[in-house]
Amino acid sequence: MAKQQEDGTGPESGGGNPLIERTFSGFADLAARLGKLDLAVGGHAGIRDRAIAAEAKRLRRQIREFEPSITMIGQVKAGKTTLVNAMVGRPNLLPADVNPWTSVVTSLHLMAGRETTTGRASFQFFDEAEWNHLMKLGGRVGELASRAGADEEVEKVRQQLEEMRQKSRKRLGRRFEMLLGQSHDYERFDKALIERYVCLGDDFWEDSDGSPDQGRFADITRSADLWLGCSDLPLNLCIRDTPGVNDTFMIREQITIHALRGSRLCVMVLSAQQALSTVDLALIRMISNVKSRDVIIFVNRIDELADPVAEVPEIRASIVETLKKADGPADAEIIFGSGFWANHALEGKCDQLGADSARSLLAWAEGNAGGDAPKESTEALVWHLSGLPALGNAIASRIEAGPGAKIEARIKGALGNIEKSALASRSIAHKRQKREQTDLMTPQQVQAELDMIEHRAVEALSDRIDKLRATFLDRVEKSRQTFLGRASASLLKHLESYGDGEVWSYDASGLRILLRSAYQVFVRSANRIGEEVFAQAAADLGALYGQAFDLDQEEVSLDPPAVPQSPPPVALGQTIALDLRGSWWTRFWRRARGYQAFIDDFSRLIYEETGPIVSALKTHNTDPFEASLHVALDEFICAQRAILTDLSVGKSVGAEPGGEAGGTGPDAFVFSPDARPRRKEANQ
Amino acid sequence: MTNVSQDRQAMLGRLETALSAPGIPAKAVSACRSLIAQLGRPVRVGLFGTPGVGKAWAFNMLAGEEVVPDGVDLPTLQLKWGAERRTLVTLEDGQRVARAGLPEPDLVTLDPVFVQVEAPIDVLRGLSLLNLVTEAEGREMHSALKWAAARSDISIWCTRYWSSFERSVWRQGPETLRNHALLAVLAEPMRPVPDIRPDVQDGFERVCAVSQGATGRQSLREGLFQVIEDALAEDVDTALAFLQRIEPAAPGAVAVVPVPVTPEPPVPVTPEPPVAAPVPEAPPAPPPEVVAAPVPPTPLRRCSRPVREEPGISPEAFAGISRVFLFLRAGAGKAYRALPRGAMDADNANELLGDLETFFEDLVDMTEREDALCEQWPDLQTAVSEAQELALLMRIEGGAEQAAEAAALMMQLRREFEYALAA
Repeated sequence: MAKQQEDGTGPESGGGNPLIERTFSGFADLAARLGKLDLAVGGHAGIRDRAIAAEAKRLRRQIREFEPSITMIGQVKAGKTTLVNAMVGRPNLLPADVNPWTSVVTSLHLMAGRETTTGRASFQFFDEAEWNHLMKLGGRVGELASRAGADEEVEKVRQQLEEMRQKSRKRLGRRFEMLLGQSHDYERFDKALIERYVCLGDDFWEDSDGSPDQGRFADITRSADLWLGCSDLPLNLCIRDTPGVNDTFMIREQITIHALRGSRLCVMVLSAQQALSTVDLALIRMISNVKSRDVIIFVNRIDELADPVAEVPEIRASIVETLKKADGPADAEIIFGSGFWANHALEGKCDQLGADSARSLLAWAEGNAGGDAPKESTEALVWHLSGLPALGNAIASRIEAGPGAKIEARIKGALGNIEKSALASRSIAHKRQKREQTDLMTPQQVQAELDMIEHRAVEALSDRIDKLRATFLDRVEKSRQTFLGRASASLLKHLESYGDGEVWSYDASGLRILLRSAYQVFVRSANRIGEEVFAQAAADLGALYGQAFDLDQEEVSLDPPAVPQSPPPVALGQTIALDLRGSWWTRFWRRARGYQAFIDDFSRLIYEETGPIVSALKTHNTDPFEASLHVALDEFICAQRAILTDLSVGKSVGAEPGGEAGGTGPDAFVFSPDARPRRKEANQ
Repeated sequence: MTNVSQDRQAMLGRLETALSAPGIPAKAVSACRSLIAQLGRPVRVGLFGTPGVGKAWAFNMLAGEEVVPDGVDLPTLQLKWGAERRTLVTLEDGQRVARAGLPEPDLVTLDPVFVQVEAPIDVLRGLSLLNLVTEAEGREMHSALKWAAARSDISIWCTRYWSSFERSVWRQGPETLRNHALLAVLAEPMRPVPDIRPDVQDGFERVCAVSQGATGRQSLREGLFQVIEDALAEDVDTALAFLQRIEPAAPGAVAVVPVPVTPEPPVPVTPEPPVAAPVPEAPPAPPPEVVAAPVPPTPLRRCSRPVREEPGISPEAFAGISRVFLFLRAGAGKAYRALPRGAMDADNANELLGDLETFFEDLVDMTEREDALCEQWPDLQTAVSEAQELALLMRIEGGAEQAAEAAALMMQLRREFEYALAA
């Protein structure tokens, strides 16, 4: 197992836990390969070709900063936090019985190969804009209510919010709003500190009669970042615990969507007791917009099932059925287990499970007495049965195939280019030493050529993406209209046949599917454009090596950079009016007069409701993806520009560690690092 | 362009046969009769608009004769086919007066409330015209439109500037008026016609820019015929879907593949130079006894058919469209054979909807791979992807009606392809 031992810290100082080590052993291969790449790249970081070394260092940093992440989402009371604690091998790390009011996203950054200690902690408060959106407009619910013209509802939301705000003021003092936008950072953290920011109780404060600490900042805390050393982990890993969905103001939904945006891989935690149902549609909507191979479903709390062996297949079937009906990822992997068992195994307290739980465990053990069950200790067996190793493996294999493969490909390509550049540098230095003709172009010409290549590539990328974006937006608008047309027709028919007394509903998943496929088409085309433009730029730059230094084209055929990954369209998961079946907003229809007025109001409402989804798709998906394409192109060209510039002005030293500076060519140039090379006036 | 009316003739025949077939369910008989009535009746065209915009002019242009005398303040007037020229006037007290010939200016003196005119004008074999006359006042217009809605299959709203008043009257008007609607933007001869784009929700299938001169007449007629033809095509599709469900599955009779006048997919040849549609003295191929009836609202936005003006069509485009067309046609045949005879139950319907969803997805993939096709007929590509989106929404809705709609969608698409191929 290759551990990254970047600053010489020894493997572990007795803190290792074989259970955790086994759980994440699936990362070992990827970690070993990345370790090899790190070494190979490192070999170039010390050479005296400044630009090449800089590029090598940049790659090395990328390898070491690689931190794949998982977002945990789940039903309320599914035992998400207990499970997260078990995953990191610390049963008491995060407060598990937090009142579900909390809306904090907690990110656990597990630092591979470090000593098992707690590290930094950082708590970020809501910023002013977010807070105002919530307080002044009543968040999404307020938005919806005022859009529907439901003034009473708007007023109710306002009152609730005012109460909340009064409470916050009581807890935090009159000027608490000055804290907005700030963050509190600590060098060390403990449970009490976390509770101060994360545990929020509605009436919690009153109950604990004024104790100033617990939950003190929770009202306004948006996210918590905790860094932990984890000697059993071969790779860095970030586990994100989200507050779940379904709250009065839909704040938590927004927050969860935001968290999902940050990581591709998503674990949905369900409770075996309350398998997936229509109550969880909001949850299903969230995961429906992540690729199904990036979704893992963990059915927790099987310890509470009387007969797990018989019940588990039923639960599985029912989950698949529900997902299918809701157009969710029905082929996602489903794992059954128990965070409760896992934590007992970690603490070595398997004898304290309680009679019912122990009975379930035994039944489950008998049903799963497969060949691969570890026999060496009770703890190991219980751990195995808790489903944690299976979860760890599933996570590892997804990361290996997803972000792992992506970074490997990217680094390999870039490493190949570094090697080619180094080779070119050596052969130029060699020729110069032998006073052979090598510089066919002046540095100015090289610069001009570089400018042209860059200009051409950037223009091509912008032009083609602009066109693509226009097509995409056009298609999105059409889909929106098509959907609106169908939905209005359905409403009209409903009104004609049942009048306005009956509640009408229309499945909004159609719209989401349409928008999702529009986005997928955009991504596919943008990928193709990226590949083509990058390939052209790589070919142009390779050709420039040949032209400028009389090198063999084969020697310097550069690999184009990898096209970045597109963010999943998670914004599509947000709840819109149509999803709130039979709730207060449907009453609003009864106030409208005449069916046509119904239809008009409906169309307007739904059109506006879908607006934020469409704009989020643009601001959080297509825009960043476009930007990331530009960044990838820019980084590639910049690195090559630096290398080619060095070569052309004779700064290259032949890429040999400790080699002599190569002689400058017949023309002498003045070069300053912060300016483009400039031919000596006298020579003109 | 005549294939639609030929389809219609063939369809009427098949409906009659189906009606006389033994063992046809009672429910189907009445449905069949109403379809025959729909297809057999001349299409009723209503002209609407605020006073003074030139409705009477448009009316006369469509009739091909000056039926409404210029500058005479006549009430609402209906014109239909009759062997003799004759004018029937309804007076305020309900009394009716008949006169020979077209309305004369002195008719005004009778203070009529409604005028019916019959005339042996060729175009009237296929359609009747209604000129709705009202004051420019919201409430009156509203009730007049309601009255007219029951008497029109196709609406033409005549306007100059599509003012906010007109928009609100139109939007508040009966829904059925919007099933098949045309917006005619009129302008004085030699004056520019304003570029008006009504809202999608206003439901106009076409907008006709009409300069009130000789050329205006042609564009108005062409616009109307296009709308009529689209409406008819929908009726034929509906009837086809209906027939497929009740016709006995006689093995030989599986000439069902409902392509009565489908040109064989053309061999990739360089097409003839495009010919502009001839100026109609008599309308080119006036879809004669055409009919529109309250059908389910148009699922597809119709393609405009700019194909004619398109210069050369590449052999690649032809090959591409032929490939996709064959796939579409095979799929349509398969889907219709799969339609259960008799009433569809929910399971059947949902299974069919699932199949159709997959079919349309494949069709989209296939179309998108044909670059030449997409370049040549962007509208067709749009129609294909729109059909796919609709099929998906219909599948999510579920139900027998949706299944029939989705199947009709396929027919409509097939027709779009035929138009493109025949152009």
